[in-house]
Formats: sequence, C-alpha cells, structure tokens
Amino acid sequence: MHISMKHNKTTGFDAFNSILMIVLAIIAIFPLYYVVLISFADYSSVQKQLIYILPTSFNTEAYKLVFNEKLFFNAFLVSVFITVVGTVVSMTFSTAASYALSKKFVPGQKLMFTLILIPMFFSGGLIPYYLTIKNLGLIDKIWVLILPGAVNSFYLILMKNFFEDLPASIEESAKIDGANDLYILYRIVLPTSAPVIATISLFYAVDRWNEYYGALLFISNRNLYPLQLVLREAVLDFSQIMASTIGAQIAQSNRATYTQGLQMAIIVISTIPIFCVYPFLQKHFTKGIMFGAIKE
Amino acid sequence: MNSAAVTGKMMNKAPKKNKSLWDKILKYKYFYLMFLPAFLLYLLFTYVPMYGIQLAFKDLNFAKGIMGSPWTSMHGMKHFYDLLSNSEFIKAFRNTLVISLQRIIIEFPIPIILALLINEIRKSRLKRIVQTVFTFPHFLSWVVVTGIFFNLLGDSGVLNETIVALGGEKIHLLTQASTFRTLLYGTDIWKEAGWGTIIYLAAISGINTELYEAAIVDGAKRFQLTRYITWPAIVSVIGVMLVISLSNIMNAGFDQIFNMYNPAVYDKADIIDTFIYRRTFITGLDFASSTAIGLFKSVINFIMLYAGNVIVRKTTGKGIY
Amino acid sequence: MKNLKKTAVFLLAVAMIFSVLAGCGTQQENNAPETTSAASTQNTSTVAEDPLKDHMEISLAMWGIGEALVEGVQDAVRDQLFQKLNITIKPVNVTWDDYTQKIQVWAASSQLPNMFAIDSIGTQNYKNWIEQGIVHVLPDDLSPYPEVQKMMNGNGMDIYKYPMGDENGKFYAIPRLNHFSVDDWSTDNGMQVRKDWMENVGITKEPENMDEFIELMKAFVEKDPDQNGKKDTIGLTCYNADWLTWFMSAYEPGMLGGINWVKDPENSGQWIPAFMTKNALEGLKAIKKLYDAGGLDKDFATLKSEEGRNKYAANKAGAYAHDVTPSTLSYVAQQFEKNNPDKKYKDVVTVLKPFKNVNDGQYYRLIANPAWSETYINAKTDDKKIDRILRLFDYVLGEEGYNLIHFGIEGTDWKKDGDKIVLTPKKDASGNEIPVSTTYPFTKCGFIAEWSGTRQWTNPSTEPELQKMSSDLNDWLQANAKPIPTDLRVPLLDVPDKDKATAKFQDIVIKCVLSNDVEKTWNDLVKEYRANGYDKLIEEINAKCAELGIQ
Repeated sequence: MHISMKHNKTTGFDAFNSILMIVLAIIAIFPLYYVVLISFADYSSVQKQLIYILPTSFNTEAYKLVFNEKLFFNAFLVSVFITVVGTVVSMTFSTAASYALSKKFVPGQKLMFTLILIPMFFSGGLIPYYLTIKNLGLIDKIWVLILPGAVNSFYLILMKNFFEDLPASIEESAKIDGANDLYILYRIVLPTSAPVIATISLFYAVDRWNEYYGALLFISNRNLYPLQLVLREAVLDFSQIMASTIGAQIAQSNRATYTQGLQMAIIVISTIPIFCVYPFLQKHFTKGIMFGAIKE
Repeated sequence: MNSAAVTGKMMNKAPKKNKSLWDKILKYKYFYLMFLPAFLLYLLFTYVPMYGIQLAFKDLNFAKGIMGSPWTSMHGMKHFYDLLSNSEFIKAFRNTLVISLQRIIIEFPIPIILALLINEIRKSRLKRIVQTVFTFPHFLSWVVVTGIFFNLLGDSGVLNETIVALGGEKIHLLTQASTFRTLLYGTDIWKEAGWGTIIYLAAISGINTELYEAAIVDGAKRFQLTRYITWPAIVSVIGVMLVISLSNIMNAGFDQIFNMYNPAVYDKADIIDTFIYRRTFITGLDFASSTAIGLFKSVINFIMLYAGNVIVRKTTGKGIY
Repeated sequence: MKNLKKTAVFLLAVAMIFSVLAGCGTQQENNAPETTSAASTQNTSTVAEDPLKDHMEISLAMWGIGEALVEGVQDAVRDQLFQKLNITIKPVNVTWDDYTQKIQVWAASSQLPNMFAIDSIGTQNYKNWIEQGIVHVLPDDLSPYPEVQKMMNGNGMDIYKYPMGDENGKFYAIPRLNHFSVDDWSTDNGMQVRKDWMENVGITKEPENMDEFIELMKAFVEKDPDQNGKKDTIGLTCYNADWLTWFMSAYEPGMLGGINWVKDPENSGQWIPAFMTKNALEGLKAIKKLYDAGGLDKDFATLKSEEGRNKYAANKAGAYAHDVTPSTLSYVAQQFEKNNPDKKYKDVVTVLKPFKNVNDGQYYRLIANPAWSETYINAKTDDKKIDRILRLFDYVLGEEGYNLIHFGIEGTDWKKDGDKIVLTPKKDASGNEIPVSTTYPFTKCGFIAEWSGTRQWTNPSTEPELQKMSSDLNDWLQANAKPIPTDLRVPLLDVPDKDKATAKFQDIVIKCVLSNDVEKTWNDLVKEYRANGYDKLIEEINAKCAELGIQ
C-alpha cells in the first residue's frame, strides 16, 4: 500500500541515508564474498598474495570434491529434512501455545506462562537429559534433532507479545458469528499475523539449519550427521580445544586434511541454502513498511 | 491432564467460586488444547530431567548415578566454594557481568536504529536489498568469521599494511587487552545487527498505514511520524528484547569470545563460559561442578529476568508478563 | 491472584517431585546388571579349546572410527583382520571435538561400548572409573598375549599400575603408545631453519645460544633472505605458542615440552611445577628479548591451526618451532614443495641442536610418558570377550598385524625386502599414488593400539632423507644430551587437589612476552596460581612423593 505525500522530492536526509546504507551493506557483504572467492580459488595463488580481494584464479576442485563425497550429500539431505519438518512442527506447536498464552482471561494462564519460563533458565544437566533421550529410544534417531528443541521459550514470548498487541475487534466479531477459538486462531488470527509468522518461522528454520550440538551428543551414525557437524569437523581448530599439546598434535595429524579452499566450499554449501529461504519470508515482514515509497 | 490438575487445585483453594471457574475452564477448553502439545514437550524434555540439578550439590558416582551419589562436603556447597574461592573465576564472573552490561548499552540499540533507518528508505527495491544484505554476516559462524578477522587485523594484515603505508606504527588489536572489548562489540555489531533488525521491522510492518495517512493529513512532519507512530508500535517488542537480554546476563557471548580470545586478553575478556571450557579440557571438570556452575548462572539470570521485567514494565507499561 | 500464585508454586513442586521420581526410575534401570557376566565366568577358555572358536562382536569407541568402518564398503584389510580374529568390530563414532563428553555421559548412563579410547590417566575420571567399577581390570596373567605383556612391562609403563607406585598394582588401561620408550620423545620438540636463507644473509654458523639466534632472526627480517626485493619476511614462527618451549632447555629444562615437575634448587629439593623456578623466569625473559628484537612472529599468540606452518612453507618465515619428527618434516616438505616446485625441502632445511643450558652447560632432551591415551574395557564385558580384545591388541602390536593395518595387504601393497618393508603403491588413471586409506578405509584407524610415532624412524612411507635428518638428531641427542630432570610419575600422583593443576605454558608465555615487565607479570602469575590451589597441591605432591619414595 503506498502513501502519497505532497512532497515527493528526496530530501538531503534521504540521500545521506541511502549512501550510509549502501556503505554498510558493502561492509556486511565482504566476508561472504571473501569466503565464496576462496572456495573458487587456486591454493597457491591465495598463498602468494597478501590479501586476496579480486579473483585471480578459478577452479571448482573443492566443489567437485564436496559433491562427490557421500557424507556431504547425506548431511545436506539430513539438514534439509530437519529444517523443513522441524520448522513445521515448531511453528504448529508454537503458534498454538503462544496464542493460548496471550489470553490473560484464561484461568491458569500465569501458571502456564511460568511453566514455559522456568526451563529457559533451569536445566538438569547433560546426564539426565541423555538418560531421558535414551529411555525414549531417541538415540541415533533423526527425531532427536527435531522434537526436544521443537519449542523455544524465547520465540513463544515474542509471539505471545505480538498476539497481545492485536486489536481484539476481529476476534470479537468472529465470536459473535459463533466461531470457536481454534477456528479463530487458524482462520482469522494467523492469516493476519504474517509478519510474526514469517519472522519466527525464519528464526526456527535458521536455528534448525545451524544445529549441531544435539547431533554431536546423540548421533553416532554418520548417515544422520547434519551439515553443520560435518562443517565443524572440517573447520575446527583443535589446538584451541585440546589442553595437551601432544593431544592437539595427534588430533590434527589423525584427521582428514581439508585445504582452505575445501573448507570454504563446505562453508558456502552449509550457508547458502538456508539463505535462499530468506527472500521468500522477507516480503512478509517488509510489506507495509512502505512509508513514503515512490510508486514503482 | 493439565486442566484437571488445575481444576482440582483451584477447587481446593476457592470453594466459593466453584461453579463459575469450572464453567470458565470448559468455555476456554480450546486454549488448553492449544497449549497441550508444547507443554508435553516441555514436560518430557525439560522437567523430567530436572532432577539432575541436585548434582550441583553432590559428587558424581558413575556407578550409583545421580540419585545415589553422595552429597559433597560443606553441606553440599563444595563445588560452589571451589569456584568462588578461585580468583580466576571471580575475574571471569566480573568480566561476564561487565561485558553483558556493556553489550546492552552499546550493541542493543543498534538494530533498533538500523531498523528505523531502513524503514525510512524511500525506494522499496533498495530497502529490500539492503535489508537482505545486512543479514548476511549472521549466517556465517564465528569460527569462520574470526578467521577472516584475524587475517585483516594480524601483524601482516590489511589494517596494519594501511597504517604503515600512512606512516604509522603497527597495532596489534587482537592481543591488546585494553581495546579487546571494543573489538568484540564492534565485530558483534557488524555480525548481528542486521539480523537483529528483523524483529523490529516485523513489528513496524504491523502498523496500520492509515495512521500515517491521517497524521500526514493533520500536517505531521516526517520525524514526528516516526516519534509518535512508529516508535510506540515497537516499544513493546523493544521491551521484551531488553528483558530477554538482561536475563541472559550470565551468557556474554561464548561463541564469539572463544574464537577470538587468547591468553593476552584473558584479564578483560575471559568469561565464565570460556573459563569453564578451558578447565573441562585441562582437568576434565566433572559434571557435578558444571551443574553447579549452571545452577549458579541460572539463578542470577532468573533474578535479572524478574528485575528487568519490573524495570521495563515501570518505564514502558508492559513487560513480558 | 494469591491463590493462583500458591497454586503455581504447589504445581511446580508437584512437577519437581514427578521428575525426581522419574529420575529414580531411570537410575534403577541403570543399576540392573548385564545378565551375561555371571554366567560366562564359568566358561573361561581351557587350554585345549580353540580360543578363537566363537565369533564375537566387539563395540569400540575411538576417534573417527565411523569413517574407518563404513557398512557396505569393500575393505580387504578389515576383512582379513576380522577373519584372523573371528570378530566383528562395531564402530561407535566419536570425534575429537566431543569424545570426552560423550564417554563421560555414557559412563554415567551405562551406555559404554565394550572398549573405548580416551586420554584420562592422571584425571579424576581415571580414579573414579576404577574405584567405582566402571572399567574392567586386565587379567593378571598376560602371557597368552606376549606383545601386550611386553608393552605393559616396557620402559616407563609402571605408571599404569593402579594404585600408582604399588608394586602389586593392577592394570586397568591398555596404553596407546606414541613411542616405545620415554627417550624416543627427543625429536618431538625442535627447530627447523632455512639453511638456504642463512647462506643468503651471510650467517652460516648455526646459532648455539639465544643471542646468536636473535641475530639470525633479525637478519631474516632485514636482509631479504628470499631475495625477492621486498621486506616481507619474518624470523621465527611456530605451530602455536606452546612450541616455544624449545628454548627452555637452555634455562629451565623442566619446561621443555610443557610444564613438568622439578626439584626447586632454591628450596631444598621440594618438588614444584617448573614454571615457578627462577630459571623459568630467565627463559621467559629470553623469549621476550627475541620478540622485542623483532625476531618472533608478532602474531604468535593468535596463530590458528596450520597458519604458522603455512607461513613458513610459503617463504614468509625463516624458522619454525614445532617438532622435528619425520612426519612433521614430511608434512612441511609437502606444503613447501607445493609453493616452491623447483626446490626440495630436504635441501633447504636444517634442524637445530638445542642450546647449552646457561647454568650447567648441559644439553637437554625431551622425555615424556610413552603413551598418549589409553583403551579401557567396559566393566560389564565378559571374560571371553576380554580375552578376544586382548588377542586383538596382541595381533596389531605384533609385526604381522601392524603391517596389515598400516600398509595394507602383503604382496599387493607392500613386500618384504630382507628386513625392510618396501611399499608398492597402486597408481590411479592420472598416475597419482592411491593412498592406502582410500583403498582400505580401516587403515584410517590404524592407531587402535599405537600411534604412528612408534616406528617413525623406520616407517617406509616417509621420505628417507627427512627421516634420516630426524633420526640423526635423535642419535646425537641420545649421545650428548641428558633427559630433562623430572620424574614422570609426579604429575600423575593421586592427590586430592590434583585438578588444581591448571597452568599451561601457552598462557604463561603469551602473557609474559606481551607484557611490559616480564618479571612482574611472572611474579603475579605465580602468586595467582599458588593462591588458586598450587600451594595446596605442592604440599600434597611432596607428601605423596615422600610416601612413595620418589626422590
């Protein structure tokens, strides 16, 4: 929706703002540019130069290696599965729960809210958690990467906040027409809550895509490794982790060697896909911020 | 079942209101249904394991498990005593508090300001592109990003080459304790501010555009539009974000600091989490100790949540509950 | 409102009690013992029975084993090994990132595999696991497994007896050897220098003390040793700051290779950690001198994994502090020759001899515990399986097994030429050698029983001249250098405060070298460490040494 203004000329502020934004955008894009650059570069030309800004070589060795490796391909599929299924599960449970939490008149609402608040802070530690997962039979199963973290209290709180801010008029008129609360939620409230749905879905999706800790602990089957775990193996510096110099040495010399180009290729492949989801969701939370937009 | 339990307790405490309360619950049954799946997840994966908290007061015996393990000396407080009497831990604790608070003061406002500025961009294409690009750095992990920073800021990196070319002396930001925190905040802003704008932009996009139109008709200037329409709409989101940030005060950014720090800057940058991480690998810090630290952090975080909520509620009228 | 709050608290209490009960339930599950152990002790193999009669499945958790034992993949080495011992090894994958945590969690939840690898000697875990019955004791009689017996009775291995120092102590861990004796560590800390650069800057005598070294490093910075017209070279770089301990043999030899325990010369022979001696301070001052003179890489404190090595191999540095084992020399050579296709690394490098100690004029060489990490057997494993596990170790510690899992199939991938092993690698379509680990993934975990350092000076896959360089240095060191004056048992003694030993050389050297006043920084550090547990620890260690008669 466009708002027409009497004065359509761009002001000095606008010019300044635009330039500032462009400069900041360049600063923001640089590392990703650098990573992509190295992933396509030739090892020795990188070594020769002080700083590698403009490409002087091009080879797809790294990518060939990555795509041919069954491990990466599997990991990619695993990550896609967890992200898609995980986000759907998360959003289903989360929207329902936070909508319920946003209704202060429901008896026990405060208790319900406290119940989701406590786990944000207090945790029983690794051993009981591991035992619980084990007893539920989730060790080495893909669902262990989806179910335990399906609901994030922080996102629940954000969504609850959004729902609370919605004008009650729409719901009231639906109630008068005889709709029940579930219907109201799914047919009336959600469709008008596109910004928050898009935002929180994005948050969950990115969280799932980046998840590695659960896999680290509970998955021994290499076929179920998500992409981030593989990435860590490729990129992690063990001299930081291992307190014993000898241990770090042994770790370094007994694992597969990844050249810088290969590392960068893995990083690119692990980062780009989730990023492709972004534009689809972006339009939902930038829609309506069209104040002063010039008719295009 | 959840509602049954609630009903039962309610009935015990307030017998007079029996009928209308039960009626209420039936009336709102769908809301309980909505809450149920999430609740079951929490029950299974967070409440069932919570008995493990007692390990903070025990010495873990692998064969007997947590329940059978003996209590530590000093009435169960030995792990806490060990930590609090260690000067390195105290330094780390102090750093954690200082860095978290400084982050809130310095880093917290940036995404808000950026979101407002992005909102002001006239050309919608530029707006979209800029907003997208700003989120790029968020997707790279700190492991990757620090590699790039080290390249730029190292002794033979671009920064120093430029300084030398301009006739100056090389600087070593990475090992300089006095400026290290500034480096942390700067790089964190660079990495996360763009992503942080999303939630605020989402809030802004929920504003009814008719409000703007009406205000313009009334002769409002551009800045007044922001102050009187845009700002109030995002205040509640800001409030929530602020409370959450305060309740994370004991987590000062482990991922970033772990990848960027080195012994030369421990004095200023070592936080609780990095301190514990090192100890885990040197001495095999055991689960009981780490549970104790976890509990210590949790309690402080929880107190800050409450305090933060009170402050935010007093200043903006609305907190997180 | 108040009612609601009370209800909330009450309900939370209910939830907590519920979870506690849940906890009890799961713990009871843990304490149920495996049914096999009691019954099977009746069936210990008699002399007449074939010990390899029954096929066994043995689960093993070791770094990267998931990659080495992938299902459905052809692997003749694996097949031969399994056949020989009538076993199947079931891999339980752990990574270098998570192995400690995973194993600890498994230990606490009865989830341990039959055997697992971890470096835990000297830690609380080691003691706890033994005393709480998590790991199985090894049989007293190891004669059915001669190679294992030989190893357990080898040089420096008495530290694995539990309790340590007890003549009748039992073995609970199968050590994973890094070297066959404590002395073989001599080249595990060294200095590589570009001798072609030395010629180019006009200094042909190898430095024999820190001042000469500084002169050489300065020349590397100033005099364009790579002759490319640019002043873009630095003197010394390192794998990371830990490897600067090489200089310490000239000042405080107890700090060579890390922080060992030495007798304090100023305090009637009390055992203290080496970083607390005055000599240690002298050493730190010397390194600072090197740094201030511009001879040390200014980024030495922030070098990430292979950065230092890459710098050196890319002609950006003239000296490299790391180790001078054949494998490291080979690795550097590989990088170097990629960057300098017209040169061979063996022609341009020299490995320095250590400096003479400034106090007693001696040369010192590194010694350390022969093994890094151990294999433990789950206490719930039955005796028959333990026997088979030990036979597995016996086989791979012996000639036949070692050659199989390191070099491949005899006749196909290697052959015997008298005493030596000659590799006959296959080549692929483009003429490149196919590495053994590609054809036989199992060889990726060739370190089941020993790391590749044990036979480093006779390994046929190392470039012979580089191997000889390392081996020659070792010979010289054995003949001319004394072992560092420490007792390797001391850091492993079982004392209540042993987890207070948190000092790391890297932390100390970085803080001191980058400060303005080394002496003050060092004093403050020592004070801080003492206050945070070292005072108690020193007392306890000395008491224990007196008790066990460790002089």
